[in-house]
Amino acid sequence: MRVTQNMQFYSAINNLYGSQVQYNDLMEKLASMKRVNRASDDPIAATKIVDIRQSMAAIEQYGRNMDNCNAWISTTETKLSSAHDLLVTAQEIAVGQATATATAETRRIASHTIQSIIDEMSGLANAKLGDRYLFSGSRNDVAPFSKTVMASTIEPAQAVAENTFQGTVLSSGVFAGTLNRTCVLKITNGGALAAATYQYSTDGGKTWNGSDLSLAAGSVNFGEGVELTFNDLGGTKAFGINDVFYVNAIAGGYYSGNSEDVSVTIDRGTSIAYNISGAEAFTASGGGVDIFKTLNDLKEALVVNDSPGVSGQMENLTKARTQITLNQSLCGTKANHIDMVKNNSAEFNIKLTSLLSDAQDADLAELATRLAMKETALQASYAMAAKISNTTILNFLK
Amino acid sequence: MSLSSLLFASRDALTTQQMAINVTGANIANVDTPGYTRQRAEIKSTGMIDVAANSVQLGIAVSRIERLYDRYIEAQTVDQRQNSGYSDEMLRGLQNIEVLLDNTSGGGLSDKLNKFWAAWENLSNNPAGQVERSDLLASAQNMTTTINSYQSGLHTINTDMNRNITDVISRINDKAVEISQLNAKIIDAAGDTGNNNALRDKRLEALKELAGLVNLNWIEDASGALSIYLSNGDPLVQGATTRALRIELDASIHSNIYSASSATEPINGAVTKGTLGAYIALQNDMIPQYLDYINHCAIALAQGVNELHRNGFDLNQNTGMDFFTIADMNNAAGSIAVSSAIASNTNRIACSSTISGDGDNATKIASIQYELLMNSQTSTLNGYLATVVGQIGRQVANARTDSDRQTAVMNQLNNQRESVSGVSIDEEMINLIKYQMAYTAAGKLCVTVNEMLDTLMELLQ
Repeated sequence: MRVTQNMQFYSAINNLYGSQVQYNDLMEKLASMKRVNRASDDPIAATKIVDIRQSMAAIEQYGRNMDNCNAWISTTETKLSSAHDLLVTAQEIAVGQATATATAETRRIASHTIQSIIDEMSGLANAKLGDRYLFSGSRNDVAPFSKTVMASTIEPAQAVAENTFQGTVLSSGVFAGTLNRTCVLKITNGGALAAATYQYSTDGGKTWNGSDLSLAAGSVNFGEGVELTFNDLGGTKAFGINDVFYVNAIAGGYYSGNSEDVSVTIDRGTSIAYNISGAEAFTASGGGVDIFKTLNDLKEALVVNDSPGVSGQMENLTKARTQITLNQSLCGTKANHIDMVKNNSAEFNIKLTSLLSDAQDADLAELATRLAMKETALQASYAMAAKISNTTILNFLK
Repeated sequence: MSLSSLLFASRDALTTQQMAINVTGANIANVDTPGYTRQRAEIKSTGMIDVAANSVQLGIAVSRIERLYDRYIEAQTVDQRQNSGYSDEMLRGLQNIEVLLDNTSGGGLSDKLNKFWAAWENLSNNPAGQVERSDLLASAQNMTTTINSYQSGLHTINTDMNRNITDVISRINDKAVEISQLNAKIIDAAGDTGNNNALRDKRLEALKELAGLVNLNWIEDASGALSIYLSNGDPLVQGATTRALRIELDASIHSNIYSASSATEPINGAVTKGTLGAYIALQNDMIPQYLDYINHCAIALAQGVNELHRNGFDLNQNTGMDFFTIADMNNAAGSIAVSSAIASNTNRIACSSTISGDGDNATKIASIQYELLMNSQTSTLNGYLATVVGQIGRQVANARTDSDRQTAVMNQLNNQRESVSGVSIDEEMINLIKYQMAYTAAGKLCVTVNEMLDTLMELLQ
């Protein structure tokens, strides 16, 4: 084969380029400490990296969610434990005042102590973490517990501020339900009363009746006695789509919150209701006793010097303590659940970190060795390039 | 045999060797001229006299100047240039897209999506929180801006392609004109071997450059003219005439190429190789493909989030609002944005599934990240993005392999061509010595004959 000067120069340059490209590549990997600096370095690893990073971001977020839950649960636990202490005090008083040695005077004094226990209990049951009530379910606009008994009520109807409808809406009826609820009506087709359609929900908007109903009758019955009546002033006030009206119906007693769970995702596909239901902890709706009623009854019995009435509340107080303890242990269960998930995610996170590292991190020892080798090759290429011009016949024709 | 004929012989030898030295000089001068084919003076003896029934050759002449080349290697080079022109440009174009869509090192759309979902989760922990709400708005806007920038980036690459295509077409037309002009000169100079060689070198070089730009077929006819046809048979150069290509932009800002014989129907489909082929493939296949991917993402994201968001209640208990707006469904990636009502008032973010202000709707929206929204309900948004990243990575990696292989092929062909047609200084120097010695010897012959003539003249006095 004939070898010409151009061939020598071309191959010298090509070899130099080749070595430099590989050298640069290694330098980049060493500097970034990453094996995959762009998708084309390893397309399969690049796909994995994007996947793993998402999983890791999600785990990080779930970690934050769990920290929030833990704060909530431990605060709840503290409040419940204080409530338990109050009940113990109340029971001691009841035991003391139920005996024959107690007089009307001591019972009157004790009734003041019970009143302050009620006040303190109300403070605990209405406690907040941040801006949210611990025991109100998902309702957050009013304090969930009152110190005095409320009658069963249907609150005034509410029209959302940005509604198109400017007519009037009134609530009516007598609430027959046993659980507090918020009934919501949503306009699905606008227009005057005759033309408008709506859907309604009896659980605050979580689930809907599913089909559009005509509003032509002007009034809507949500069941259990709750009714809304609309007046569009003779058809002059039209409804807009997505206008929302709602009404709170309170079953009576001491609780005005609802029995909805407050939940958050703590792992992919796993969510946890981290709140303790105020209704279950402090009222009789969970099959127990109504703590505020018991304390108020005890107070009344003390005020009127009713000894059998006082001893009659002792059993209720014991039940109330059990009820609180039960809810305390529920907090413990929730906390354990979260701890378990947290440990699992921590383990999973370690696994993901090592997978991510496998997919994208460079093996420094190997890189450094290869870089040294490549450097030698590059130096050889330079030395060779410098020699080309010495190897022609011209050097010998003097 | 006369002395004067010896003189003639020495004269012929002198001119012949001088000619040979000229050719050698030309070779040396053109040692690094691209496309230069080394030449050799074919020397043959002329004239013959008989002396006592013995023939003696007398005289010498250059019969022709030969161009040393291998027709097969040159044809191969023209063929492979079409491939290497394509693979080099394809690699460059895909690398531009890869940089744009890179998600491997963070800061890409995938990360922005993760932050977006996390912001919803944070809001679900504190549904009324103003900080959480503005954080969600910021991360949503960050994400839509990223999607917008993907679209505008791809759009810019597309516009660059139009500029590139315009450039290439004008270079193709220039080369076609050059070849047709050379054709005319070669036909004119049919008998003139020396001049012809230089013209042919130039024309072959132009043909190779043209082959790097577009795929073509070529044929050399008896008159020496080179005709060039596109792969669909449309002529580009016929003898001394050029049939120029022309381009027009269509409604979607794509370049359409028309040939002289196909003035109304674009011939984009016929251009599959060379730089132009790469630009056409990038513009007609690659860029729209990735735009589609991004559009699908934008639409699925907006629809998924909006559907749930419409069912939720905001802080003021309104319902039925969209979170994202897409002004132009055909350009979803370019026009996706957070709805202006939400951007101006974060209380409008509907994170509650009931009117009482819980965070359940935020939790539901955050879990869209696990929903199989893409690829006919087989992959999640992030999974889809990962596939897109993998795909561009694979395409770039394949293009790089192609380009490397094509470079190796071209180097090999170049070496083969150099081996046959390249100038070797060593060889030329030795030839030079040879011709110089021959020239000196012929000069010596002339002197000797001159002395012999003098001797004869002296005899006559």
